[in-house]
Amino acid sequence: MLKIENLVVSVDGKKILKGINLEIKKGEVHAIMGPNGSGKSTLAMVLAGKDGYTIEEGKITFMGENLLTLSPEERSYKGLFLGFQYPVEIPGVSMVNFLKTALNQHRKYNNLPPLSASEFLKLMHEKKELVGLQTTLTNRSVNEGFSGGEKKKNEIFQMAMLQPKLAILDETDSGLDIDALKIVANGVNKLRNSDNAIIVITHYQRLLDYIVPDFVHILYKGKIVKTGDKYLALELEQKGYEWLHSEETLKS
Amino acid sequence: MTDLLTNVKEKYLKIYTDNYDILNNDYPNFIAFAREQALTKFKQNGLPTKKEENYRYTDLNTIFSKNYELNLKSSLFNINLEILFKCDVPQLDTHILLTINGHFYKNNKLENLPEGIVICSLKDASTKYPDIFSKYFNQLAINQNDSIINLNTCFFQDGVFIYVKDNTVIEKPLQIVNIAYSLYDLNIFRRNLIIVGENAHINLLVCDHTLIKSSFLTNVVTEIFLQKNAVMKYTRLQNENNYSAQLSSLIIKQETKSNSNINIFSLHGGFVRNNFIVNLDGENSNINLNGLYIGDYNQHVSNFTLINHNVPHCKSNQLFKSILFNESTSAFNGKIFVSKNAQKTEAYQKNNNIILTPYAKAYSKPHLEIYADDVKCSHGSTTGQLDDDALFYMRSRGINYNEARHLLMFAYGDEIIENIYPEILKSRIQELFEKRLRGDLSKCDDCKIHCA
Repeated sequence: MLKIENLVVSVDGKKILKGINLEIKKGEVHAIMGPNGSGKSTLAMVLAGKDGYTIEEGKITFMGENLLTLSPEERSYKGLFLGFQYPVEIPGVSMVNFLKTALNQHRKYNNLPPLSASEFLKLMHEKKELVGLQTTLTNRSVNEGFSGGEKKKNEIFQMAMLQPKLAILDETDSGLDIDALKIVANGVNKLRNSDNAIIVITHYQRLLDYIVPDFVHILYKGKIVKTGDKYLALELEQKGYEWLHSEETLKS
Repeated sequence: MTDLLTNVKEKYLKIYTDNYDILNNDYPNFIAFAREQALTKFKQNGLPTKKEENYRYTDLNTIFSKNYELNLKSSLFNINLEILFKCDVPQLDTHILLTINGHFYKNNKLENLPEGIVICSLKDASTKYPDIFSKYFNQLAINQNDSIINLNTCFFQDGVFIYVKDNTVIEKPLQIVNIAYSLYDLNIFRRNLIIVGENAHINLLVCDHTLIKSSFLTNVVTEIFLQKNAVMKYTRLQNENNYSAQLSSLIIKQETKSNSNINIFSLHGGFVRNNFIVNLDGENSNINLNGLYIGDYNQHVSNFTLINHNVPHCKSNQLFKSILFNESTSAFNGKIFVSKNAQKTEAYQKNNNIILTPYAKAYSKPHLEIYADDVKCSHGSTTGQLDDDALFYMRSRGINYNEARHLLMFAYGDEIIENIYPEILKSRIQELFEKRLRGDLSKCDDCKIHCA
């Protein structure tokens, strides 16, 4: 589904990602862990197509296509979704209008007629239930005045509405209390199936108790330094990121 | 070598002398006197140049370089406006009245007007209602030094007179449609006088249209008096063609506990200058003054506001927002003046500008002058682009770039449209704004007028 080969990315002339290799197949859940500044969010943004990142080397193939030539909206149509670490507040743009526009543009891309107002509302209601989002969305602007927890639930709700093939969840657990974390994780698990794939980016092992990954990758100083199964996350939790530092020193 | 504005001044002076009789025909004597006073000031001050602080960002040379005819006789064209003009706000039930080239349209059918409201041409009012007319007419304009306003007093021929008697509440909006129609470039002067009596309510919708692609230079002055407890909603849609220029001055005097809610939408029009001069003269009076203006190509939209807080316990709130495409420019020059005794004043002013190209320019000069010590005042100005993070967020959800921009711009402008009442008018203006943003607003759907 997704293949990243030797990806080197710089921001303002500074190399952030220094040769990433990663392959994700459908049905898989991958966790990417790593300390602050290791390049996790950069990787997420590059995948979603944000400006300001220079691809120095490497390539990314998504569903057999060169991802890097696609606009952010095209990536979305092809099934890529980014759950933002910091969901953006958009005053004056209502959630309903935002989602309806998004969904109908997806449908248009797939040569489907737009949803009627009632179909849309029904779908919205259904997906809200699914992910446990209790916030009233009508008459509210996108993320405006949402609590930290609501914002993150809203991301998963949008994922449920758009049904992506590959969801990248960038620190979806940050800022969540344990109850909210369970709700969010539970929502993600319901959306998980054998046809889609998920990349979970996180600092902490805690989220992985609920969203159990097939693979865990440790990103450190712009490189994936270790790959393992879910026990790697536990090991990391025990030893801390210092462990990577000492391992690296040993190697050199 | 004399410059253009000096030449134009001389030209106006000559027209005035040559047409003295025509100008004052059918008007009571005090009009001629008012014109003389205004002329003296105009002679002294000349047309404002960019050296004048209030016109620093607004170059009148650009509009006076054209050669306009000035027609002082009554409405030239005997056209049937009902055929040409059909306002397509079907569910919007309004009392509608038209002016053409600055003259009250003689076939205005003002049927079923409620008791207690007088609407007629300014000229008629001067003789039909001499007491009320002479009591209010020119009382605000006379104190202005702006030559654009004085020029209007010198040359106006007609306009709309509205008098809402005490305790009269008019639910239905009153719609004034100002139409410019001429085969040659025309200089139009229009003068309106609006008096809203004690406890009276009025909801005005004013639309400016050009019917044809000639260049028009319209100079309109509206004096508005809000008596005790009076309430006025005033919505203006400026939608003239882009060859035209409009110099509009709204001068308002508000008495105790009066309330005004003014929203100006400048959609099209090559050059638009709006002066708002507001005197809060009665305690607990309140004004909301908002503007939304969209510029493209070489359009220039300039809003000048002066709110005089002359007494305590008044409140004013201003919000002006621009969206500028291409090489368009906008100017906001706003002043809040709080006099020494105007304690407990609340006065707020905000100007936001979005510039969408490297060539568009927004000039902004928020200004507070406060002599009282117990007041709440604020002013601020921002100029920037659309929020990149919001754009990316939307695009990542599949909303394409153009649509995402459109949603953001719409949301930005909607903060002002929000204020419009009734609901049906609000949604109509939302629709017009949306069309304007998409670049396909030239006319209302059913109307034969091709405004731009």
